[in-house]
Amino acid sequence: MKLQKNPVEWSVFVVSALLVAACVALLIAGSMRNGDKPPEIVVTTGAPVKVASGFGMPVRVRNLGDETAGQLQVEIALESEGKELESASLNVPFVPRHSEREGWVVFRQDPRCCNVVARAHAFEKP
Amino acid sequence: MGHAATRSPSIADSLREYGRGLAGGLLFSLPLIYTMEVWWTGFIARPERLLVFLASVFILLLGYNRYAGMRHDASWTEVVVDSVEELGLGLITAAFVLFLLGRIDVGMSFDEILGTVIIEAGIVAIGFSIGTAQLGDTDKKDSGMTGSRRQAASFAGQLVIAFCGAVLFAANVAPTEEIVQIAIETSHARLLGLAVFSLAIGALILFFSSFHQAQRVSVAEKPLDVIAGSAVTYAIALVASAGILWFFGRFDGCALDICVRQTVVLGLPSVLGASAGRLLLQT
Repeated sequence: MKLQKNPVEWSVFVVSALLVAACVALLIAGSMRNGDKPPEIVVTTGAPVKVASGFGMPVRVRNLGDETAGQLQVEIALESEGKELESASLNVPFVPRHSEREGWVVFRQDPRCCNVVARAHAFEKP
Repeated sequence: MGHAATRSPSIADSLREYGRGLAGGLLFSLPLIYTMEVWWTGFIARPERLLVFLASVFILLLGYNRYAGMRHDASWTEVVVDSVEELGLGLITAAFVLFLLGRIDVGMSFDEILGTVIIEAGIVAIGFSIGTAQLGDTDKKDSGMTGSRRQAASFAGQLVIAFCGAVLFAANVAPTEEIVQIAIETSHARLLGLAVFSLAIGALILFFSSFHQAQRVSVAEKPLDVIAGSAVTYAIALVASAGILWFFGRFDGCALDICVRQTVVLGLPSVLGASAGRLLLQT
Protein backbone atom coordinates (compact mmCIF):
# COMPACT_ATOMS: atom_id res chain seq x y z
CA MET A 1 0.00 0.00 0.00
CA LYS A 2 1.33 3.44 -0.92
CA LEU A 3 1.70 5.67 2.11
CA GLN A 4 -0.44 8.79 1.98
CA LYS A 5 1.25 11.59 3.86
CA ASN A 6 1.37 15.34 3.60
CA PRO A 7 4.67 17.28 3.67
CA VAL A 8 4.43 17.91 7.42
CA GLU A 9 4.06 14.20 8.14
CA TRP A 10 6.91 13.30 5.83
CA SER A 11 9.13 15.89 7.51
CA VAL A 12 8.27 14.53 10.95
CA PHE A 13 8.97 11.00 9.76
CA VAL A 14 12.34 11.89 8.21
CA VAL A 15 13.48 13.82 11.30
CA SER A 16 12.27 10.99 13.56
CA ALA A 17 13.96 8.30 11.50
CA LEU A 18 17.24 10.26 11.55
CA LEU A 19 17.01 10.79 15.32
CA VAL A 20 16.26 7.14 16.05
CA ALA A 21 19.02 5.98 13.70
CA ALA A 22 21.47 8.40 15.34
CA CYS A 23 20.57 7.12 18.82
CA VAL A 24 21.00 3.50 17.76
CA ALA A 25 24.33 4.28 16.08
CA LEU A 26 25.59 6.18 19.13
CA LEU A 27 24.56 3.39 21.50
CA ILE A 28 26.25 0.76 19.31
CA ALA A 29 29.38 2.94 19.13
CA GLY A 30 29.19 3.44 22.90
CA SER A 31 28.91 -0.26 23.61
CA MET A 32 31.91 -1.00 21.37
CA ARG A 33 33.96 1.81 22.89
CA ASN A 34 33.09 1.04 26.49
CA GLY A 35 35.24 -1.46 28.25
CA ASP A 36 34.86 -2.84 31.75
CA LYS A 37 37.19 -0.39 33.42
CA PRO A 38 35.91 0.25 36.96
CA PRO A 39 35.31 3.84 38.09
CA GLU A 40 38.55 5.82 38.04
CA ILE A 41 38.05 8.96 40.05
CA VAL A 42 40.23 12.02 39.61
CA VAL A 43 39.69 14.92 42.00
CA THR A 44 41.03 18.37 41.16
CA THR A 45 40.65 21.66 42.98
CA GLY A 46 40.45 25.22 41.74
CA ALA A 47 41.57 28.58 43.05
CA PRO A 48 40.26 29.42 46.54
CA VAL A 49 37.90 32.33 47.00
CA LYS A 50 37.39 34.33 50.20
CA VAL A 51 33.91 33.70 51.57
CA ALA A 52 32.16 34.75 54.80
CA SER A 53 33.08 31.60 56.70
CA GLY A 54 36.61 31.20 55.38
CA PHE A 55 37.95 30.18 52.00
CA GLY A 56 35.79 28.36 49.47
CA MET A 57 37.52 26.08 47.02
CA PRO A 58 35.89 24.55 43.92
CA VAL A 59 36.27 20.79 43.58
CA ARG A 60 35.88 18.89 40.34
CA VAL A 61 35.34 15.12 40.50
CA ARG A 62 35.86 13.27 37.21
CA ASN A 63 35.19 9.63 36.46
CA LEU A 64 37.49 8.26 33.74
CA GLY A 65 36.19 4.70 34.10
CA ASP A 66 33.49 2.84 32.15
CA GLU A 67 31.15 2.37 35.12
CA THR A 68 29.17 4.87 37.15
CA ALA A 69 30.41 5.54 40.68
CA GLY A 70 27.85 6.25 43.40
CA GLN A 71 27.89 7.72 46.91
CA LEU A 72 31.39 9.14 46.56
CA GLN A 73 33.14 10.42 49.61
CA VAL A 74 35.72 12.96 48.57
CA GLU A 75 38.23 14.28 51.05
CA ILE A 76 40.32 17.40 50.58
CA ALA A 77 43.09 18.02 53.08
CA LEU A 78 45.51 20.88 53.65
CA GLU A 79 48.97 19.59 54.51
CA SER A 80 52.11 21.42 55.52
CA GLU A 81 55.44 19.75 56.26
CA GLY A 82 53.79 16.34 56.32
CA LYS A 83 51.15 17.35 58.84
CA GLU A 84 47.45 17.64 58.09
CA LEU A 85 46.25 21.06 59.18
CA GLU A 86 42.67 20.92 58.10
CA SER A 87 40.38 18.72 56.04
CA ALA A 88 36.96 18.96 54.44
CA SER A 89 34.79 16.34 52.82
CA LEU A 90 32.27 16.31 50.04
CA ASN A 91 29.62 13.67 49.29
CA VAL A 92 28.72 13.22 45.64
CA PRO A 93 25.64 11.04 44.86
CA PHE A 94 26.77 9.93 41.39
CA VAL A 95 29.49 10.48 38.84
CA PRO A 96 28.49 8.73 35.60
CA ARG A 97 31.13 7.14 33.35
CA HIS A 98 33.28 9.67 31.48
CA SER A 99 31.52 12.48 33.34
CA GLU A 100 32.22 14.99 36.04
CA ARG A 101 30.54 16.73 38.96
CA GLU A 102 31.46 19.94 40.71
CA GLY A 103 31.15 21.09 44.30
CA TRP A 104 32.73 23.37 46.86
CA VAL A 105 34.50 22.89 50.18
CA VAL A 106 35.18 25.61 52.73
CA PHE A 107 38.33 25.87 54.87
CA ARG A 108 38.89 28.15 57.82
CA GLN A 109 42.43 28.99 56.67
CA ASP A 110 43.66 30.06 53.28
CA PRO A 111 44.50 26.86 51.30
CA ARG A 112 47.26 28.72 49.47
CA CYS A 113 49.42 28.23 52.58
CA CYS A 114 49.67 24.49 52.11
CA ASN A 115 49.67 21.45 49.88
CA VAL A 116 46.14 20.54 48.84
CA VAL A 117 45.61 16.76 48.81
CA ALA A 118 42.35 15.66 47.21
CA ARG A 119 41.05 12.13 46.69
CA ALA A 120 37.88 10.06 46.62
CA HIS A 121 38.34 7.50 49.37
CA ALA A 122 35.14 5.49 48.91
CA PHE A 123 32.39 4.95 46.38
CA GLU A 124 29.90 2.26 45.58
CA LYS A 125 28.67 0.54 42.46
CA PRO A 126 25.11 1.76 42.02
CA MET B 1 0.92 10.10 12.06
CA GLY B 2 -0.49 8.31 9.14
CA HIS B 3 -3.85 7.03 10.26
CA ALA B 4 -5.68 8.07 7.12
CA ALA B 5 -5.70 5.44 4.44
CA THR B 6 -6.78 6.56 1.03
CA ARG B 7 -5.58 10.15 0.66
CA SER B 8 -3.17 12.28 2.58
CA PRO B 9 -4.73 14.17 5.51
CA SER B 10 -4.76 17.97 5.63
CA ILE B 11 -1.94 19.69 7.48
CA ALA B 12 -4.42 20.92 10.10
CA ASP B 13 -5.53 17.32 10.74
CA SER B 14 -1.91 16.19 11.10
CA LEU B 15 -1.11 18.99 13.53
CA ARG B 16 -4.18 18.13 15.60
CA GLU B 17 -3.06 14.52 15.71
CA TYR B 18 0.45 15.48 16.80
CA GLY B 19 -1.13 17.68 19.45
CA ARG B 20 -3.11 14.72 20.78
CA GLY B 21 0.02 12.63 20.73
CA LEU B 22 1.94 15.28 22.65
CA ALA B 23 -0.82 15.51 25.27
CA GLY B 24 -0.88 11.73 25.64
CA GLY B 25 2.88 11.52 25.73
CA LEU B 26 3.11 14.00 28.57
CA LEU B 27 0.10 12.58 30.44
CA PHE B 28 1.63 9.14 30.65
CA SER B 29 5.28 10.04 31.05
CA LEU B 30 5.35 13.07 33.32
CA PRO B 31 5.51 11.08 36.59
CA LEU B 32 8.61 9.33 35.24
CA ILE B 33 10.19 12.51 33.92
CA TYR B 34 9.92 13.88 37.48
CA THR B 35 11.44 10.75 39.07
CA MET B 36 15.15 10.85 39.89
CA GLU B 37 15.62 7.08 39.87
CA VAL B 38 14.73 7.20 36.18
CA TRP B 39 17.37 9.86 35.43
CA TRP B 40 19.90 7.74 37.31
CA THR B 41 19.00 4.68 35.28
CA GLY B 42 19.75 6.73 32.18
CA PHE B 43 23.40 7.16 33.06
CA ILE B 44 23.95 4.01 35.10
CA ALA B 45 22.62 1.71 32.35
CA ARG B 46 25.27 0.59 29.89
CA PRO B 47 24.70 1.29 26.18
CA GLU B 48 23.83 -2.38 25.51
CA ARG B 49 20.99 -2.23 28.01
CA LEU B 50 19.75 1.03 26.51
CA LEU B 51 19.74 -0.63 23.08
CA VAL B 52 17.61 -3.48 24.46
CA PHE B 53 15.30 -0.86 26.01
CA LEU B 54 14.98 1.04 22.72
CA ALA B 55 14.27 -2.18 20.82
CA SER B 56 11.68 -3.26 23.42
CA VAL B 57 9.90 0.09 23.23
CA PHE B 58 9.85 -0.14 19.45
CA ILE B 59 8.34 -3.64 19.59
CA LEU B 60 5.73 -2.40 22.09
CA LEU B 61 4.88 0.50 19.77
CA LEU B 62 4.57 -1.88 16.82
CA GLY B 63 2.29 -4.12 18.87
CA TYR B 64 0.13 -1.32 20.19
CA ASN B 65 -0.17 0.42 16.82
CA ARG B 66 -0.95 -2.89 15.12
CA TYR B 67 -3.65 -4.04 17.48
CA ALA B 68 -5.10 -0.94 19.06
CA GLY B 69 -3.74 2.25 17.58
CA MET B 70 -4.60 1.99 13.90
CA ARG B 71 -7.24 0.70 11.52
CA HIS B 72 -7.39 -3.05 11.13
CA ASP B 73 -6.37 -2.81 7.48
CA ALA B 74 -3.26 -0.73 8.17
CA SER B 75 -0.24 -2.26 6.48
CA TRP B 76 2.89 -3.16 8.42
CA THR B 77 4.71 -0.35 6.57
CA GLU B 78 2.25 2.16 8.04
CA VAL B 79 2.64 0.61 11.49
CA VAL B 80 6.45 0.84 11.28
CA VAL B 81 6.36 4.42 9.96
CA ASP B 82 4.04 5.50 12.78
CA SER B 83 6.18 3.77 15.40
CA VAL B 84 9.35 5.49 14.12
CA GLU B 85 7.55 8.85 14.22
CA GLU B 86 6.38 8.26 17.78
CA LEU B 87 9.85 7.29 18.90
CA GLY B 88 11.37 10.35 17.23
CA LEU B 89 8.77 12.69 18.69
CA GLY B 90 9.33 11.03 22.06
CA LEU B 91 13.05 11.81 21.82
CA ILE B 92 12.41 15.46 20.95
CA THR B 93 9.76 15.93 23.65
CA ALA B 94 11.77 14.18 26.36
CA ALA B 95 14.91 16.19 25.54
CA PHE B 96 12.97 19.45 25.59
CA VAL B 97 11.19 18.80 28.91
CA LEU B 98 14.35 17.45 30.56
CA PHE B 99 16.19 20.56 29.42
CA LEU B 100 13.48 22.82 30.88
CA LEU B 101 13.70 20.88 34.15
CA GLY B 102 17.48 21.33 34.22
CA ARG B 103 18.08 17.56 34.00
CA ILE B 104 20.21 17.88 30.91
CA ASP B 105 22.71 20.61 30.47
CA VAL B 106 25.61 21.58 28.27
CA GLY B 107 28.08 20.75 31.04
CA MET B 108 27.04 17.10 31.15
CA SER B 109 28.84 14.37 29.23
CA PHE B 110 27.23 13.24 26.00
CA ASP B 111 26.78 9.66 27.34
CA GLU B 112 24.83 10.98 30.30
CA ILE B 113 22.54 13.18 28.20
CA LEU B 114 21.93 10.39 25.68
CA GLY B 115 21.05 7.83 28.36
CA THR B 116 18.70 10.11 30.27
CA VAL B 117 16.89 11.26 27.12
CA ILE B 118 16.50 7.73 25.72
CA ILE B 119 14.98 6.36 28.94
CA GLU B 120 12.41 9.12 29.20
CA ALA B 121 11.77 9.16 25.44
CA GLY B 122 10.70 5.52 25.47
CA ILE B 123 7.88 6.24 27.90
CA VAL B 124 6.90 9.48 26.12
CA ALA B 125 6.73 7.56 22.81
CA ILE B 126 4.31 4.99 24.24
CA GLY B 127 2.23 7.88 25.58
CA PHE B 128 2.33 9.49 22.14
CA SER B 129 0.99 6.33 20.58
CA ILE B 130 -1.84 5.99 23.08
CA GLY B 131 -2.61 9.70 23.04
CA THR B 132 -2.90 9.78 19.27
CA ALA B 133 -5.29 6.84 19.29
CA GLN B 134 -7.25 7.40 22.47
CA LEU B 135 -7.59 11.15 22.83
CA GLY B 136 -8.95 11.42 19.31
CA ASP B 137 -12.31 12.44 18.01
CA THR B 138 -14.39 9.26 18.15
CA ASP B 139 -16.38 10.30 15.08
CA LYS B 140 -13.35 10.02 12.89
CA LYS B 141 -12.21 6.82 11.36
CA ASP B 142 -8.58 7.75 11.88
CA SER B 143 -8.78 7.13 15.58
CA GLY B 144 -8.77 3.63 14.26
CA MET B 145 -10.87 1.81 16.75
CA THR B 146 -13.67 0.37 14.65
CA GLY B 147 -11.55 -2.05 12.75
CA SER B 148 -9.07 -2.69 15.48
CA ARG B 149 -11.76 -4.15 17.72
CA ARG B 150 -11.93 -7.14 15.46
CA GLN B 151 -8.16 -7.36 15.62
CA ALA B 152 -8.13 -6.91 19.35
CA ALA B 153 -10.46 -9.84 19.77
CA SER B 154 -7.68 -12.12 18.56
CA PHE B 155 -5.69 -13.79 21.31
CA ALA B 156 -2.36 -12.40 20.15
CA GLY B 157 -3.81 -8.91 20.05
CA GLN B 158 -5.13 -9.27 23.58
CA LEU B 159 -1.73 -10.41 24.81
CA VAL B 160 0.05 -7.48 23.16
CA ILE B 161 -2.37 -4.92 24.56
CA ALA B 162 -2.29 -6.49 28.03
CA PHE B 163 1.51 -6.32 27.91
CA CYS B 164 1.42 -2.65 26.83
CA GLY B 165 -0.97 -1.80 29.66
CA ALA B 166 1.14 -3.67 32.20
CA VAL B 167 4.34 -1.91 31.12
CA LEU B 168 2.69 1.50 31.14
CA PHE B 169 1.29 1.13 34.67
CA ALA B 170 4.18 -0.75 36.22
CA ALA B 171 6.83 1.59 34.79
CA ASN B 172 5.54 4.36 37.05
CA VAL B 173 6.55 2.56 40.23
CA ALA B 174 9.20 0.08 39.07
CA PRO B 175 12.19 2.45 39.34
CA THR B 176 11.44 3.48 42.94
CA GLU B 177 13.21 2.13 46.02
CA GLU B 178 9.85 1.24 47.53
CA ILE B 179 9.50 -1.93 45.45
CA VAL B 180 12.67 -3.51 46.78
CA GLN B 181 11.89 -2.30 50.30
CA ILE B 182 8.46 -3.96 50.27
CA ALA B 183 9.96 -7.09 48.71
CA ILE B 184 12.56 -7.42 51.45
CA GLU B 185 10.39 -6.52 54.43
CA THR B 186 7.16 -8.35 53.62
CA SER B 187 6.54 -11.91 54.84
CA HIS B 188 6.02 -14.82 52.46
CA ALA B 189 2.40 -15.23 53.56
CA ARG B 190 1.55 -11.61 52.78
CA LEU B 191 3.27 -11.79 49.40
CA LEU B 192 1.23 -14.89 48.62
CA GLY B 193 -1.84 -12.92 49.65
CA LEU B 194 -0.72 -10.09 47.34
CA ALA B 195 -0.39 -12.55 44.44
CA VAL B 196 -3.90 -13.96 45.08
CA PHE B 197 -5.28 -10.42 45.41
CA SER B 198 -3.60 -9.44 42.12
CA LEU B 199 -5.21 -12.41 40.37
CA ALA B 200 -8.59 -11.52 41.85
CA ILE B 201 -8.30 -7.87 40.79
CA GLY B 202 -7.49 -9.01 37.26
CA ALA B 203 -10.57 -11.23 37.20
CA LEU B 204 -12.72 -8.50 38.72
CA ILE B 205 -11.74 -5.94 36.10
CA LEU B 206 -11.95 -8.28 33.15
CA PHE B 207 -15.00 -10.33 33.97
CA PHE B 208 -17.17 -9.04 36.77
CA SER B 209 -17.17 -5.28 37.00
CA SER B 210 -19.08 -4.50 33.80
CA PHE B 211 -16.47 -2.02 32.77
CA HIS B 212 -17.23 -0.12 29.64
CA GLN B 213 -16.87 -2.62 26.79
CA ALA B 214 -15.76 -5.43 29.11
CA GLN B 215 -18.18 -7.69 27.30
CA ARG B 216 -16.28 -7.23 24.09
CA VAL B 217 -12.91 -8.11 25.55
CA SER B 218 -13.90 -11.00 27.73
CA VAL B 219 -16.35 -13.44 26.34
CA ALA B 220 -15.72 -16.00 29.08
CA GLU B 221 -18.76 -17.39 30.80
CA LYS B 222 -17.60 -20.60 32.45
CA PRO B 223 -15.67 -20.42 35.75
CA LEU B 224 -12.76 -22.24 34.10
CA ASP B 225 -12.54 -19.55 31.42
CA VAL B 226 -12.49 -16.84 34.07
CA ILE B 227 -9.68 -18.59 35.93
CA ALA B 228 -7.70 -19.21 32.73
CA GLY B 229 -8.23 -15.63 31.51
CA SER B 230 -7.11 -14.16 34.83
CA ALA B 231 -4.10 -16.48 35.01
CA VAL B 232 -2.96 -15.48 31.52
CA THR B 233 -3.34 -11.78 32.38
CA TYR B 234 -1.40 -12.24 35.61
CA ALA B 235 1.31 -14.18 33.80
CA ILE B 236 1.70 -11.33 31.31
CA ALA B 237 1.80 -8.88 34.22
CA LEU B 238 4.58 -10.86 35.91
CA VAL B 239 6.63 -11.08 32.70
CA ALA B 240 6.23 -7.31 32.18
CA SER B 241 7.19 -6.66 35.83
CA ALA B 242 10.30 -8.81 35.62
CA GLY B 243 11.38 -7.15 32.37
CA ILE B 244 10.97 -3.63 33.73
CA LEU B 245 12.71 -4.47 37.00
CA TRP B 246 15.62 -6.02 35.12
CA PHE B 247 15.90 -2.94 32.96
CA PHE B 248 15.95 -0.56 35.93
CA GLY B 249 18.75 -2.66 37.41
CA ARG B 250 16.62 -3.93 40.28
CA PHE B 251 17.77 -7.52 39.74
CA ASP B 252 21.49 -6.64 39.68
CA GLY B 253 23.23 -8.52 42.43
CA CYS B 254 19.95 -9.75 43.95
CA ALA B 255 19.27 -13.34 45.01
CA LEU B 256 16.62 -15.17 42.96
CA ASP B 257 14.27 -15.07 45.95
CA ILE B 258 14.42 -11.26 46.12
CA CYS B 259 13.95 -10.97 42.35
CA VAL B 260 10.79 -13.10 42.54
CA ARG B 261 9.53 -11.11 45.52
CA GLN B 262 10.03 -7.82 43.68
CA THR B 263 8.23 -9.22 40.65
CA VAL B 264 5.24 -10.19 42.79
CA VAL B 265 5.20 -6.77 44.50
CA LEU B 266 5.19 -5.03 41.13
CA GLY B 267 2.67 -7.60 39.90
CA LEU B 268 -0.28 -5.70 41.39
CA PRO B 269 0.16 -2.42 39.49
CA SER B 270 1.18 -4.50 36.51
CA VAL B 271 -1.96 -6.66 36.52
CA LEU B 272 -4.07 -3.54 36.96
CA GLY B 273 -2.42 -2.17 33.84
CA ALA B 274 -2.74 -5.44 31.94
CA SER B 275 -6.44 -5.97 32.62
CA ALA B 276 -7.66 -2.38 32.86
CA GLY B 277 -5.40 -1.44 29.97
CA ARG B 278 -7.07 -4.05 27.80
CA LEU B 279 -10.33 -2.26 28.41
CA LEU B 280 -9.39 1.36 28.84
CA LEU B 281 -6.77 1.61 26.13
CA GLN B 282 -9.30 0.44 23.63
CA THR B 283 -12.34 2.45 24.60
